[in-house]
Amino acid sequence: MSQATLNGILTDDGGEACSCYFEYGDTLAMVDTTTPTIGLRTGDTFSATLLGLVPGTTYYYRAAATNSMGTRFGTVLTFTTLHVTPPVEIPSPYGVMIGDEIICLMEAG
Amino acid sequence: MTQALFGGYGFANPSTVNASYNAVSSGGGWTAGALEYTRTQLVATPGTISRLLVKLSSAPGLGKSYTITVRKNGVDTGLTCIISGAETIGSDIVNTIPVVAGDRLSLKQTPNGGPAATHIYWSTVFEPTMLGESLLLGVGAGDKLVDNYIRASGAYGISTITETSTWQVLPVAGTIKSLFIRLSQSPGVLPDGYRFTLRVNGVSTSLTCTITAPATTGSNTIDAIVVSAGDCIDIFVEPLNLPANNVTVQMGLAFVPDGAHVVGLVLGSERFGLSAIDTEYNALLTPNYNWSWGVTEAGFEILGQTCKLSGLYILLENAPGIGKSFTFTLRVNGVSVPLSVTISNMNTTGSDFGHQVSISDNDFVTIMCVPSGNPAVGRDYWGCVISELIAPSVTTLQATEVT
Repeated sequence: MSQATLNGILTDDGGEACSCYFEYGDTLAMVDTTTPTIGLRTGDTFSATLLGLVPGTTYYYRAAATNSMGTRFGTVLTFTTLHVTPPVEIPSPYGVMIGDEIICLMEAG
Repeated sequence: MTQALFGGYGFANPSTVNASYNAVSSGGGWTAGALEYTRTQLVATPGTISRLLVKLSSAPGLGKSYTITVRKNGVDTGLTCIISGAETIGSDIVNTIPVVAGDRLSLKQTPNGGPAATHIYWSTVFEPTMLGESLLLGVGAGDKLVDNYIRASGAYGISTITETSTWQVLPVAGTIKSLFIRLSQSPGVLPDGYRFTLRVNGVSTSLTCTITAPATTGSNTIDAIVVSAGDCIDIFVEPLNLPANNVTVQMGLAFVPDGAHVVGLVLGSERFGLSAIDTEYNALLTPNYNWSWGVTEAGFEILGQTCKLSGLYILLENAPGIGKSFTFTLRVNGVSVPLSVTISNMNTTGSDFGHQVSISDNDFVTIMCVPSGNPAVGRDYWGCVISELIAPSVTTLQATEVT
């Protein structure tokens, strides 16, 4: 499985300490949220690490900040988790190809 | 974005027979009509004044009343309320009066029918035409013989030759501009005059204004002074060419705070020094430099209205000393609230920007100081921020460590 660390900065707390988090998902609906970081003030950065992501998948995410006057969101960004090539055995007269490697079974000729 | 202007005076009652006058912002002893100019402050940026709230310590009594009216340029406005009979609070939340730079503001109380003696407390709000601008309202005095200093904001007209006694500390950074001055009378005969200069940390700035006889008004809307949190401000008064007349100096400045949620300042200071032993109280917004702490809270109240207070900043002339401290705490209706600063050891400054206190209509506000360990005393200055909460803003940054 894949993982990623999301980052954000509270550019204006609006006058009181804020709770900040991320919305994310593999569609623009971004149905998942991270655990909020509380007590942030203007200029504070925050981050959250996502585990168990699906390899080779594009995820959408945006930062969010909440105080008693409401919640505001940052712009939506994306990241794509890396592909993990599964081992594939390819028969060969000289060896077996596993992933990108060929395991030599016998000398040619 | 509205700035609450707190006011009140709890140490002496106004006349129960004749009209008397006070300052719109802060407040001191009431004065008779002929001396209204000593309680008159100047507007430095256009906007409106509204939401007059008034509270009495004693009800007027059956068939009797007090009328409280905001005055502009020496004339009663429609911003007024009557408190009668058994009532102790009143308001005018309907009428709004427009003001422009240079307008004079004062407050009048008129007793009707011989009401019971009472302290009077009041507050209004200022809504600027230009977003982000707030008022510093002041009135001081000009001495014709010596260079002297007055506070940049205050409620009645006195001055001193000791500059640090008139300092007020700024809790947040911003810009000060639009110096407006009006004198109670001409300095004398040409070339008699006075020069008024905003000073920051004891250094003259370019925000200055010279008034030469026979003029009585002047302004500087050209220069703007950038100030930082912790800077101390005052007004330097220089008599020019041996003016014939002492003057009362009505003043106005515009403060444009950094930070969109800051809508105004509440500034206080005191020159006599804190007690090293006793818990003491003061008005959050002191009327002039000649103002001391007291061991009883009663009398120091000023009236608030719905707003948020935050950013309490304290400056001490002398560090408390090793193992010693002063703790300053905001109080609302006689109860300590979590906006507090402790200054200990060899420190001389402290602030609390981590808390915010909600003030409601007709709340009384004071500040309390508790010494610990017999600390060293000296002049003390404080300021806090009137803030208007807004929703936060946040920026999404690129994801990292993607695998």
